[in-house]
Amino acid sequence: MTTQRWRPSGRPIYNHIAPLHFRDDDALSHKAHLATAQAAMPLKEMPVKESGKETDYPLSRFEQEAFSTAPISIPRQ
Amino acid sequence: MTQRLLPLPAITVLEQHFWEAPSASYFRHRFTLRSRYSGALKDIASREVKAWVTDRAVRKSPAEAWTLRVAMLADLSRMLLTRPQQRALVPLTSTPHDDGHLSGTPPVLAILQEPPFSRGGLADRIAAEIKTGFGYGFAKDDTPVEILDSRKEIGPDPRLSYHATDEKTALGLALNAEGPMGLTFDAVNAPAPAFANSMFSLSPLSLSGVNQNLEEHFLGISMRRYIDPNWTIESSAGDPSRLDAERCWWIDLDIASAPANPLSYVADTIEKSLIMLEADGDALVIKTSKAAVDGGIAGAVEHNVTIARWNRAFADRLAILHQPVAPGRYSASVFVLPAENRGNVALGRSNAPLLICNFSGDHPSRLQRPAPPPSS
Repeated sequence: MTTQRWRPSGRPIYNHIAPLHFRDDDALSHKAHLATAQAAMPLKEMPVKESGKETDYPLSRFEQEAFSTAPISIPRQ
Repeated sequence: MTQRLLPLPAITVLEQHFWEAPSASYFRHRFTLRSRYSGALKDIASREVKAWVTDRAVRKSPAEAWTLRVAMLADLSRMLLTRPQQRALVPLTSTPHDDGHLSGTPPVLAILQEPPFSRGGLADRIAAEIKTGFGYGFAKDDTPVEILDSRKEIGPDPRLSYHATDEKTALGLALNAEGPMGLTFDAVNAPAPAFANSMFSLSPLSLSGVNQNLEEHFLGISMRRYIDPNWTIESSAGDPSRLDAERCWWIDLDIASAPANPLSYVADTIEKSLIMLEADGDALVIKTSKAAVDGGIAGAVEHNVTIARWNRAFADRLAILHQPVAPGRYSASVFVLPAENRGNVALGRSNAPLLICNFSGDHPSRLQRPAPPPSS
């Protein structure tokens, strides 16, 4: 088991999410009361669909920005 | 970390994480299932199974690279909020990138003496605004001094222009805050740099849809910290007609169905409007009552004053943040959610609400908001 906890990466987060929208009800051991946020909430990706095709992955985009660990490249003078 | 699974029906606790801080955080986990006979298996590939999609080419979205993710929400009741520790404002002389699409106004950098997301973790938001000031005077000869108008503190360098910024243009200006960016003293390639300070890039944004050239301008900037209500544990919303003014409230409205007075207050058992939303041609304006801002002195002629203005097409949602700032003194901030360019990284825009105006006043003993229309 590998765990990663969020810590500030030093970069801005542009695409914030509302965690309740991404709640993974299947991963909860006890079924949650609808529309209430729990203190610890399992999440899953909810792709944005347009005419049956998945067009956007908001949770992935948020995670990429929040967990961005790529080194910042600085051009050599 | 490796755990041996107990035989069913026993429950195996794989790992426990205690998150005692009141701030919001986020954990993500990957699971690998290893066979108890893995040492005896000849085929290396069948010894273990990874519970996430390992092949980048096969992944539909990057989220499939992790098995389970958990959001830890912020606990407002235990959190102590401070104002952003702003230490310097540094005007830049050129835009970071000019591709013709952006207005040519260089941003102002705000340096904060605090780590990024220092108070609320992922729930921490800092909004910047152009300060709203009130102009005082006499509406009639025989009346006391009163608020005549409100002005955003922005205007051209007096050495270059004799004229103040047009009133409607000034009321329709806001600041786009890009950040927080972490500032560190560590080496460039340090794997986990410690961010001692943070920085925001503030660029002016016209809500009227017409880009303004705001080079060589002076402006007053204030910054405000708030906690994103989406990242907090829900508390009881309470009766919308009797909101406790000593608490913070975030009131979210759809502009199309918003009432004309989204927020009122009760003073001496009389209900008075605090914030009014009015249409003015293609624009929408936010007004407040002079009595709420100026200690009960209502205007002799006009009782309300316009504090913000934006083009109707610019935003589709409105949010009002009520905060007690000192005993008997309260602040109300109005945010809009822009309809376009939301979260556009190339333009430096985030999808967080945009602060358009703020004012503080005294005495609302109780807040009221109209009940939402019954959903059909």
